[in-house]
Amino acid sequence: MLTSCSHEITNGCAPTVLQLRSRVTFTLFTVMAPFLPSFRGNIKRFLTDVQLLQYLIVLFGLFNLSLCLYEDQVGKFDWRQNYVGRIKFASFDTVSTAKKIIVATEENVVAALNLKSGQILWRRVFERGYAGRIHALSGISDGDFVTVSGGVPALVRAWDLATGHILHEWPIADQNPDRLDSPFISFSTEGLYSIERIEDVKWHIKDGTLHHILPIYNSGIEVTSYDSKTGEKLNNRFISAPFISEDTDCILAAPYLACLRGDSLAVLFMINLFDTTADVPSPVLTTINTIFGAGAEGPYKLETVLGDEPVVSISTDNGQRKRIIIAGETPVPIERDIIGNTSLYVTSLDKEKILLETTYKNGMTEVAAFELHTSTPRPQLSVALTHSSVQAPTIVASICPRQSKGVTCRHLLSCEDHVIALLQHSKLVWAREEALAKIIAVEIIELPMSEGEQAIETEFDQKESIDVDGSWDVFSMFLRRICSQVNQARALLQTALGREPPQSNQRADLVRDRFGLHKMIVVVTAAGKLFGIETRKGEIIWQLTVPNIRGLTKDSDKMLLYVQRGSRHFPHSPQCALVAADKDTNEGIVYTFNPITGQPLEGLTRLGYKIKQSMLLHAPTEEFLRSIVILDARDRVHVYPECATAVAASVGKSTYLFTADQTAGVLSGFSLAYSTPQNLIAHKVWEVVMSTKNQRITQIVSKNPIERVHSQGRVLGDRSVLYKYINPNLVAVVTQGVGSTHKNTLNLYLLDVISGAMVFSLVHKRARGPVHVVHSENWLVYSYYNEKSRRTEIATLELYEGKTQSNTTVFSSLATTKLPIVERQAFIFPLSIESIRETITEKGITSKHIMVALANGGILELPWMLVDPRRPTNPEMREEGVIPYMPEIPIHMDAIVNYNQSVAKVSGIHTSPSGLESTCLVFVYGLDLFYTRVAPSKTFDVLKEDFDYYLIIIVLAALVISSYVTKKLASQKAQKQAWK
Amino acid sequence: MTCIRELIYSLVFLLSCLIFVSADVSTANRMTIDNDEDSSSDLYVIEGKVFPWENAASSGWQLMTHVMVNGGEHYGFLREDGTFVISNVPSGSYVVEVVNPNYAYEPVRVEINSKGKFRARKVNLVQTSQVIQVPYPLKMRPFTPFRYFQLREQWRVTDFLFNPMVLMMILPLILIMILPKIMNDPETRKDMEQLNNLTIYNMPEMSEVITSFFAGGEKPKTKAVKAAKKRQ
Amino acid sequence: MAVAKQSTKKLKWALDFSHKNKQEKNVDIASPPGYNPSVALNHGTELMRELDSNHLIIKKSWDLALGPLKQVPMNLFIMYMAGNSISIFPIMMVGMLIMRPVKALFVLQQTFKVIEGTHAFGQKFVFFLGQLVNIALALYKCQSMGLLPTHASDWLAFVEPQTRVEYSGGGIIYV
Repeated sequence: MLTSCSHEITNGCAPTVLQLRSRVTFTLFTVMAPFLPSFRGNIKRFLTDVQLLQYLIVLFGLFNLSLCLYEDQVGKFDWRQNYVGRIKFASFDTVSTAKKIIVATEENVVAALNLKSGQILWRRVFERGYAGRIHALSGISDGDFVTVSGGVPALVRAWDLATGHILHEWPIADQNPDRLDSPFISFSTEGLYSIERIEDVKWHIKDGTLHHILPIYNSGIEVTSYDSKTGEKLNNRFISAPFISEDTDCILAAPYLACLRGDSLAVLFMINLFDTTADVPSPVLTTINTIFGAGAEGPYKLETVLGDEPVVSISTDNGQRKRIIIAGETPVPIERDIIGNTSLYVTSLDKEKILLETTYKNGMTEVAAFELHTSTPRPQLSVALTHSSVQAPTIVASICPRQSKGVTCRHLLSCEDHVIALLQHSKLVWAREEALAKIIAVEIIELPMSEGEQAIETEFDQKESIDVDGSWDVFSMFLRRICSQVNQARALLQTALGREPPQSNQRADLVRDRFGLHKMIVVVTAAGKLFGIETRKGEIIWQLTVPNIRGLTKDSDKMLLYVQRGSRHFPHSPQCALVAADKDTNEGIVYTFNPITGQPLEGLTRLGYKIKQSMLLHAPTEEFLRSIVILDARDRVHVYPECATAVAASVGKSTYLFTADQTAGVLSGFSLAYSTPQNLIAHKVWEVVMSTKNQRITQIVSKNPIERVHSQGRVLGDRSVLYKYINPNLVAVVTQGVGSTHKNTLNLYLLDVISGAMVFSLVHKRARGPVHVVHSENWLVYSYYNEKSRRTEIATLELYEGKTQSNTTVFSSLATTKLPIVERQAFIFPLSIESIRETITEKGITSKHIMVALANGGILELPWMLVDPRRPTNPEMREEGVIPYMPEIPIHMDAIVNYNQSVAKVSGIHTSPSGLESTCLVFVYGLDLFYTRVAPSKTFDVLKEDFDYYLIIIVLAALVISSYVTKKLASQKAQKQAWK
Repeated sequence: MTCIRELIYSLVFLLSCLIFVSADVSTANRMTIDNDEDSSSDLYVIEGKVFPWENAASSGWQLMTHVMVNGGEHYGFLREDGTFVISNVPSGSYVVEVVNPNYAYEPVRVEINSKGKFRARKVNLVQTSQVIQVPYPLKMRPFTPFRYFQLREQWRVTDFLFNPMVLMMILPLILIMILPKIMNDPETRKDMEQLNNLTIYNMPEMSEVITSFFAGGEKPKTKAVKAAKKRQ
Repeated sequence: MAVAKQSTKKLKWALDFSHKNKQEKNVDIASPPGYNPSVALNHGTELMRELDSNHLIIKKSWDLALGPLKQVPMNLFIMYMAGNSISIFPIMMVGMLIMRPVKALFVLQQTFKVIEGTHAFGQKFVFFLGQLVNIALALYKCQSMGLLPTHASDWLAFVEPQTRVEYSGGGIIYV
């Protein structure tokens, strides 16, 4: 019975089918058997048939495990939001009747936005990373426009404005026919650019002609012109400009190229690139003194002023002020100082050129308009706006058409926090939170209880949080009761005295529901903006901009989000901490805030040192606050908040921290055992040196710290138990590189980070990334690309202690000497993988599924059972609940949890347990956001939503009534019988 | 004469020199080209056409569809007529997939050799060496619409009737109703009686046997029965 | 027709339960219509036993005592029919198989009150033994169905997760 119970859950719907089947057969037997004695001979055979049938049904049932979604459930508990990313180029569509804005973004997206609402009309997502980067966007001409994207050679794509179809696509392949055909080789001496120099390349698209402008150091500028529609090369010009060198700052203010050279005695060169009248266009020189007059100090910075006119701006005095120069036959410097942080844009009104100066101060955005040449202010075009969602904006596109009732200027703003906003008549028409297109860290946090429940909870249900050990007696209960009453009395007094506690601007519906399905997603974006998104509809509840922060590492935007205190510790408010680096000093910062309301708690704390590694301490302080242990660049340990040092020191003996140096290939483990209550000391206890010659550590994956493992072993076919090796301190280290035979190899190590013991290692030859790893319980699932067979594969490892458990009560990495038994298996995965993650539930009873984000935009819920390494290759060695091995993992479309709501460019999946043991919340982020919930073992703990209450009520009522009626009838009959 | 001869000689020499040099140059050129091909090769364009599902060629299907090479290394976008090009592809082997959220397309492996020859074949991940060629330029046709959803069970009378619980309740009911009728049939009743008699005959009561066995000393008559019991 | 059928049936059943001599007799000479040999047999024994009321009491007591043992073949048959798969009906049957003898053992004294006569001890013992046999059978059935928690796997759900001694954190360095 016991075993059957546990299997009932793991097998999902299979046992019910099985039961039904055997029930039918059984009833048939019991009914028929007494009447058909001669039938008995066939029973045995029939039984075996039934058994076979059952196996089939079990198999069938297993494959249908994740059949979950009905069509009418669409959008009931899932939502998707589409984004485009931070604007790089934008242009207004003034041609067609349905007005649009065309944007090209840093997320490699070209999209058309509705002018009125800001909704995405259509969106095209380019290749990931460098291959899809957009270099130029043309203006709109007769219903189409052109983009230039990609690496070397660049791709030119012409798009239909109205529908978003591609019209043409051609690569700029023959860029340098006089040199070598291949643009991949870089010959710096010959001036052919390498990938590093691609940023020097300028693109200009005007009137159907695409100009490719390549500055060549110490020589000149090569301008190649193409027909942007057909790719036909029109001409190729070389303009001598020997002043261009590596430290020349060149910008394009079409048709001029402006270059600034030198610091103290800076000279500005301007060359007309497209002037075909002069055979050899000569650069026009302007010294810095003619622009600023005497007394200006470098460094100077040259910037293009966006808009319709060739205008450049030069900032001086450390960016304090700047001036603009109108390029032309003779450059015209405007002798008017503009404040340094003003962003400029030149728009045209009729024939007039208007300079728009956008400043942002104290939450107010001001757009001041000036006539470009004369600097006369145009107050009727100037706008001022105060709006919370517009912060430090720059105008990226602007049109001022003259209409019947006057001039209506529309400005498309791109803000510092990646918000896109449309400004019209000093009114914000719409704003899009494009920061969400680049999410870095996610946490899903429980909502607080409603106030009535909170009062009850504080009194009775704190045992879970106070002490897990269960040492919890009458006296402490009494004490708690008194405490809570004192608190209540104090609150009452406070309200009576009029000193109300700080009223949270929390909405009434933001309370925990009965099943804990309604939660708050806290999101950290690359823009340094934090969002609180509720899960029911995906509404943004709060947003916070942390100024002047950047990612911890140089090349990625890594920021960390820690939940220091959850919502279960009323009256203490929940607390989250963002760990990032200061933009200027690169030193660490910690920013604490309330994840439910979005209120900053202690605000920004500058740490004054660089962060090397950090972790969340497992032991909470008396206020249930888990502190953050930070290792700085000099291997000293700090705790945030500092008052928790004593707590950290008290658990120092059991706290270990490890670091992995990617460049040196060294993994080191630190112990905090030598700490004193005043001072924490990290003592290096082990070091593992990986070969760095050919291999580089690419990933380190540890287990989810909130994971719980319910089942400690696995039942084998002979009903014995194979105990799981559940080492919470085990991490998977993936190294990638070139092996001995110049083939890509992939190494995987399982390392115990307490003792530094290598538990297991394996090598995949001829395999390369992308590698995605999931590490959970006693298993590891990872995907890689098999170069030999040219396919994506998923491999699994499972660790077992053996048939006995070495220590049944505690797990200590230092005491365990026996190496685990490793089961492993690899499977072919027919699709490309973008990201994978395992589901997680509160108690870990529910079986695990693996959420796989596919390159085609689907999110697959893959039962772990399908990648079980114990799937027998020999079909006769069957185990209960194990499917025979098949090399290819079947993909069932009904296991795609986001059905046709494709998500583009997934960068990660976050899973979180809900209050229901059966249900796991899944949040997928990337360019799009998608949220849903999955039930890996079906919703066994709650009635299905389509449960037929009426049928049950009717049947019950009918039974009750009929039993009464028959009772009556029976008594009447008995009476009659008695009278006879 | 000598003069002319010398001139001719020198001309020949020059010519041969020239030829030699030019040959040298050409080999040198080839060498560099060869080297180029080692480090990088020409870029090719994969072409093809995507067809919509017959009945569902609604407007905008081109927008929902794109072509993906090797899981996103290169993208191809559809023109209005469904044709696509994927540019900048070096020689190698590529899996070309059509990505559409509503219809399934079969992926195709396109192989471009270093000479620029194209070959398209079906993707077989298990037997990678198996080649089933498909025509190139690619023609991608949807083979099925995706079925993401489970069908809701509808309440049907047959389902209800064949429910084991209901069966279990109804069958005995029927038996109870029918059995007495069968019993009323004289022939069957006789049969049953016979059967009963037989069992009675063949299975003498055990209690009796044992009673007799214990009391056996006084009553030898029961011995025969006892023996019969024993044989059983 | 009926007669022929009867004789074949007899053949079949007689193989199991009756004397060879008798059987031969039966086969050789078909019984005259209306003659039932068993009736005669019964009649004969009854006649003899009616003389001894004590015998009757003992017989009734033995009836009672042998009740459980007589159930054994029936139980075996039920067990066989129930099969080894775990679903509600086999479980119900197995439950009944266990519950009945156990209940009977609880009301042992009351049952024994009925038993009188010279063979009382033996009868009681046989009754008790019969119940034990039934329980054993039921347990055997449980065992073969895998319902007895005799394996380590059955106690797996009660194995507490190991508590952590050490806590760790960290990863790839940021600087």
